Amino acid sequence: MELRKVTVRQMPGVKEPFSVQPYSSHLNLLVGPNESGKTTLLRAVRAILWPGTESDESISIESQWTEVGETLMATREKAKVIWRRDGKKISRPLLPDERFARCFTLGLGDLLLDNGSSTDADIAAEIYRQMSGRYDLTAIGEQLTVSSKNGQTERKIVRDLRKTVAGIQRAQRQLAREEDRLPAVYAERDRVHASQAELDLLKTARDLAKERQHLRQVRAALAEFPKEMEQLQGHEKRDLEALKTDYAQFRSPLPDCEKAIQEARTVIQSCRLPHGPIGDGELSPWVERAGSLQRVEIKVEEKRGEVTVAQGALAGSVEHLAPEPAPQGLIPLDREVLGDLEGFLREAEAVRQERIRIDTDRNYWQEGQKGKSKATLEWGMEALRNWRARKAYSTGHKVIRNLSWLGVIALILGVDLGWFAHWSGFVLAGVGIGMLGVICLYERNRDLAAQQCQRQYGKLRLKPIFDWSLESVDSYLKELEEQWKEAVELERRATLLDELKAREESLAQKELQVDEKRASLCLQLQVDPGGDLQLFLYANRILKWEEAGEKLAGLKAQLSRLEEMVRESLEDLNTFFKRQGEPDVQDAAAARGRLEDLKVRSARLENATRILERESVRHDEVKSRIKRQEERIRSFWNKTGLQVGDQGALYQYLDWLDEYRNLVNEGNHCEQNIREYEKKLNTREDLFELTFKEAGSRVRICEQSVAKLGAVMGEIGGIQASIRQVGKQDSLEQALADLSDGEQLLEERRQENLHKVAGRFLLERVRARHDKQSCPKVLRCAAELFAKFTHHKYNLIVDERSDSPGFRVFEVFSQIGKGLSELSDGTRIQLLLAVRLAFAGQIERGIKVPIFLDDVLTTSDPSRFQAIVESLNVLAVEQERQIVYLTANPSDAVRWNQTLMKKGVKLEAPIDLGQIRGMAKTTSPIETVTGLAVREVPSPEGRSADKYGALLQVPSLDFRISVTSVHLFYLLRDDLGTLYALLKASAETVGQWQALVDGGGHRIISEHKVERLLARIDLMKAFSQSWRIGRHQQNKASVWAAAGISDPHLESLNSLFEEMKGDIRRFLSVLREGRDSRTQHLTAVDVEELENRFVKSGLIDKRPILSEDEIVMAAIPPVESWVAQGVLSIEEISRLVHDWYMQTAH
Amino acid sequence: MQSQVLLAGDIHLGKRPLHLPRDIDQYGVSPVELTPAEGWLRLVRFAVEQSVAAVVLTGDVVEEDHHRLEAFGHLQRGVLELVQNGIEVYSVVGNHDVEALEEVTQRIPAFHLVGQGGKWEWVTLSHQSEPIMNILGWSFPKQGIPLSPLEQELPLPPDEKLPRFGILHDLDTPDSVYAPAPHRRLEDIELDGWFIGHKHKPSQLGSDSLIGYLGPLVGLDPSETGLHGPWVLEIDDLGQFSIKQISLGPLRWEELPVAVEKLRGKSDLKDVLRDSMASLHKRLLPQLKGVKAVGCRIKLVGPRELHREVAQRLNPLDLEDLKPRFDEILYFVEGIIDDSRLSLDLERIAQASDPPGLLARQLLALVNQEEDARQLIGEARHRLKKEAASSAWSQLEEIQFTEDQVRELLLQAGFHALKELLGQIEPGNREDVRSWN
Repeated sequence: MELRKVTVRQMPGVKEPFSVQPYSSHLNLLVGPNESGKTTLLRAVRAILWPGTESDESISIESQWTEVGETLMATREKAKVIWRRDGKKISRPLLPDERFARCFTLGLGDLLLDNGSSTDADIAAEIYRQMSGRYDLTAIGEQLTVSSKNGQTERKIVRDLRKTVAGIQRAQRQLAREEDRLPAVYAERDRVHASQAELDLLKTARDLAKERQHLRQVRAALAEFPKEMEQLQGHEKRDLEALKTDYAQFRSPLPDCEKAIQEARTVIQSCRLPHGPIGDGELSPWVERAGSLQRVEIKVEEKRGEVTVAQGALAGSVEHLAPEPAPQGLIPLDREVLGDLEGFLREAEAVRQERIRIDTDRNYWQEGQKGKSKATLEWGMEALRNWRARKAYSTGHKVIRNLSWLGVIALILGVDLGWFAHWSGFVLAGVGIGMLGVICLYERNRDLAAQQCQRQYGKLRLKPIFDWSLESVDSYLKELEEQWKEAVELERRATLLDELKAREESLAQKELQVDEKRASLCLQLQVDPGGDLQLFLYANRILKWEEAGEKLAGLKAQLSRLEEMVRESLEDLNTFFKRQGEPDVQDAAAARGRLEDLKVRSARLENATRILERESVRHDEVKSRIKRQEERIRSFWNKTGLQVGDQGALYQYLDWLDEYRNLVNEGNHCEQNIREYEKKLNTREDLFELTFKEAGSRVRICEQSVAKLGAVMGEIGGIQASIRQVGKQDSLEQALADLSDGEQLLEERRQENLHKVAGRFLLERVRARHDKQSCPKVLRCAAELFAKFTHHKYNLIVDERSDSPGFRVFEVFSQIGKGLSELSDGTRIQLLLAVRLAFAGQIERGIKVPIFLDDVLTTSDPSRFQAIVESLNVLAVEQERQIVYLTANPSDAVRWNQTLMKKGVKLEAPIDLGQIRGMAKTTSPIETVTGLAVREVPSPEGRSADKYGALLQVPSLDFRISVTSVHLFYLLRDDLGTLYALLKASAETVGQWQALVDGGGHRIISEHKVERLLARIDLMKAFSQSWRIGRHQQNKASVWAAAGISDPHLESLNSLFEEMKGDIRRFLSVLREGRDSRTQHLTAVDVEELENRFVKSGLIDKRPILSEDEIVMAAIPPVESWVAQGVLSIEEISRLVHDWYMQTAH
Repeated sequence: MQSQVLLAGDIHLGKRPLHLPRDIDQYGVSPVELTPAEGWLRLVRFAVEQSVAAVVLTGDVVEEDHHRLEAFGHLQRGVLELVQNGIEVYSVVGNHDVEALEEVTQRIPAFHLVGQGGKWEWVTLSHQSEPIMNILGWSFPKQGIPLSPLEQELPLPPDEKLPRFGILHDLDTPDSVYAPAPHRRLEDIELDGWFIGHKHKPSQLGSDSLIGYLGPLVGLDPSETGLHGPWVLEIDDLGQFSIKQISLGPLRWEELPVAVEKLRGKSDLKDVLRDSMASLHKRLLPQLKGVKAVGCRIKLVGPRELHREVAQRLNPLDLEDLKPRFDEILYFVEGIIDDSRLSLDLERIAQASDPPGLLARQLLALVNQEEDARQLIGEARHRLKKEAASSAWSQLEEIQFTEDQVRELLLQAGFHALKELLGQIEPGNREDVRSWN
């Protein structure tokens, strides 16, 4: 089956669809730089042939194949692949199993052995691996090797845990045994408790005997004291002294008491109040009465003064009436009438004023001339206006005049035409005549109406008009309008005069009423003073005179009543004084003095009486208390049993009293104790009569038994506490849980070993069968291929001398057998390739699948390169297998060509994948056939890193582009030896190194160095990401993709962008300014939109740029695993970041 | 009047659940809080609160006889509290507590052993001095009893009007040494039901069947999934009864099925697992009363071709810090069931004659139990026994290497080797190729 065309519409990482075709049936060379899609193409082919190798849901691929002369189409949409022949669906061709997909793809590593240093065994192992389809049974077998150390640690842990558990269990079993012993210990405790109870009783019996003996001794001592001792209490001496002191104190107030009684009696006599003290209740009304009398006396004096003033006022009003005498017999006057005198005056004045106004108005309104009536004037004006309306010159006249002229013209023109041209001209003349006739009729009617108006005016006998012209009529009309206005004014005045007349009549009525009122007043006053004002003044004087007389009479009556009150009060007071044995008084002041004196004397009398009563009572009390105290003293002596006053005997007995009492108490105590002891022993009467000695002997025996109690109780408490404590603990539970965990771990180790044993057992069987069944076929096929590849120079044979897989080659020409390590690199690779392809052939199921080689030869030296190319050529030509070789190195094409040309084979033109993908055109291998040779790399020996970099012409470091494009110099400037090795392997950039590793080329440097380089690449990626923060991208393709620009101005914008050296911000700045002719088609909105797109796509980053330290901090987490493995150190990270930061600082 | 009787199976006081996370106490849950002792304490509290008539236990109350002091502490305190509250305790002896329960009976008279000495015995349970049910029980007289207790003659019940139940500790397997009483024979005995101890997976006791295992109060290892707790038997005056299981255990084990599609391509698998735990919690919530921790054994489900990819990324060690809490209940991952053998199409692989193909053929023979497999198993047994005889494993119980055991070992090891082999060349399994994205 041969591939003819592949179209990748959609795959991860593919933005634009691309197609690759045509393919040769034999050798196909695809050249394309990194990221041009070589690997994508390989994946696409695999995705079609073995769908399970690609799981991405977005895949869309189309491919064309030929198989036995027929064209097959295979399309893949998402996960589904459909095969078609002639447009009809067919089942999938019988291809090898999916897991063999990589058998048809060779990478560098598949054919590379460690720089030729491999031993026979290594090469044989590799051959064996290739013969097994690259499955390494040995490696799996090594994984399944059982380690004798496995489980040792866990076993030790389990053993220790078992010991722990056993220890706890032992301790708990011991405790359980002690617990089992508890009943016996309890019995011992009970026995001791019984001894303890007996011991208490015996001690009581012993104490009883002792108490009885002591009681007898006490009673003998008490019998020697006098019998009066029994009655003494001990405080008799103190009591006696107290009684004496109290007696003396009771007698002490008696003299003072008697003296106070005598003084009170003297004061009572000096108060001279025969009826005893006068109480406040009796005296207060009189004191108030005297006070009231005094106030009346003051009012009498005031009233007398007021009478004198009133008398003066009366005399003054009489004098004021002069020269008119005071009217006689006129009083009483009508006060209501007099009171309204002022109203009368105002009314009379108003009537007078109204009269004056009416007279003035009448004179005014009566002026004016008589003329034509208002109606006549109105008619006249109407007649004149009508006339004027008929005669007025207006637009209508103009029309009439113009029509007249037209009529005339039509007439003349019509006549002329009729006469000289055609008879129809008379029709026009007729129209003109008709028009003139109508106009004449109209004018005549107007004149008749004006004459009628003139006649109507003449009938009104107004001012005659002799000149009936418009100007004259207008003048007359204006004059008539003036006259009409005057007529209207005269009509209004006549109306007002009528109103005045009515008012005048009303006024006359009021004047009559005023005159009548005046006459009535004069009649009352019996005098006519001559005028309204005089009448008013006189009436006022009369009223004042009358009021003065009335006031004087009132005051005199009040004075008389007050004087009567004074007299009556004095009489009452003197009656009271007389009753108290006191002389009369003459006025209020004397009465008040007398009452005050009575009050003082009453108070003194009352106080003396009270003292007398109180002191008399006190005197009686003292006497009584003295008597009672005398009784008490007698009683005291009676209680002692001694004679009254026998103080000497008393004091002697009291001295003996303490001793006597102690003996009594002791006796009582003994009796009490004896009773209690007897009570305790009431159940053991046998102990009642024990002597002290007998009881003591038995107590000692019991005490020896009770002494064991502490130990027994301690033992019980200890066992119980231990049980309780263990019951609360979970140490055994915990230990058992730990043991279970440990056993589980150990079991896991055992299972691991058993798994390994089982797995190894199975693999051994697999190996045996494989060696017996499968290997021989592959070996045969490989030997054939190897012979072809070497042009039958060598044969591959199995080395029977060792147990492990062993191979040898037999040189046909020399008939000498050789070890694999003795072969040249090229021959060895041919051998590996033969084995690999032989296996591929074995797994095929009738359909030959193309072989893809991805950068296999890039790092090969010329001899290897030549060997492989020749072998592939054999494979392609003789085996008729399609081969597709993909490379990033254009010089590979040259070398292919050179090699094949030697064999007389012409290579088909290589397919330039870079050009297909729209990238820079790869330098054509054909074009460089003569110019390019395998690159010579200068050695770094004796050169510093900077000098070596300069020699290599390393481009400047720029993280705006992908890290894959960064020169390895920046990662390995401290290890120029490794750099040299990689450059020799044509790995200049990170991307080329990655391609090398993908193809297995990492073996050209040591594993440690591979790891270190991988770690540094990770670090550089992390650095790059942080470094880009706040900076903008310069990648042109990205810029236009982000901008979405595809208009005709793209070229001009592109040239501007290049002028700006890819600086987006500068580029945008120029766009905003709009001065460049290439940008003038963009509006400000366009530019803003463009900037938004750049920001959105990440080409412009508005975040602040990170400092070196910040970058270091951000770069460490992604490489933490490398740091943990010791591949990278923090110091190294800082140094590398610093270098890169400084390199990119400018 | 309705009476309640509380029934509980294998409590195993003195034992702790296995496979708890070692750092669980750092997440606020002490391992002590998840023990059967805690379950027993909760049972006692529940019985007192509900004033049940009696508590009936079906053996294996205490983990081991020699563990009597610690386990006794819990048992004794619980029984005393029950007795002080007027609740009597009845139990049969299991194979684990032959001596221990007799000891308890001697110390606490209110703790009744039924069928002591391996003789069937009837007892009558009362509530407030009224008899409510009869129990027929049989206790282990010693640890190993290879004979069925049903071989003995059963005594007549004291009162035939009351509901009658049997309690027994046995294993329904003919060659068992744990009093093998076939359950089909129990059905022939005229009782209303049999409550049995020994197996830790509770039966579905209910209206359909009243013969079955009660199960422990707490799942003692991750295989003991689902609801665990005592059973409440309710009996009314007419002798009608019903039974239901209640959740009292502090720990619950669950198998957590997780769809591989959900995990595939996710950068943080923990988020997906956390979501799955949250869903599990939501589903279980009505049954989680009193539960403090839920241990999850993740089981990958879904398309088999995705299993390997996901299983390789799902490392149990990475999930140790995945301990979310939902409604104060702690969830943790106990392990992962990686049944990625599902992802291998043995028949397709076996078509080739390369090493994977040859290995796949052997596995197919084992899976299909072909005649060739017998010879394979025989040879493998010899190799395995040799390894198992190593002194390194002297601390462990001896393995019998039955045919099934050897077959399973070979299958596990064979599938593992096959995956490793395939992984050597398949792009998705090459660990030496780094991603350059």
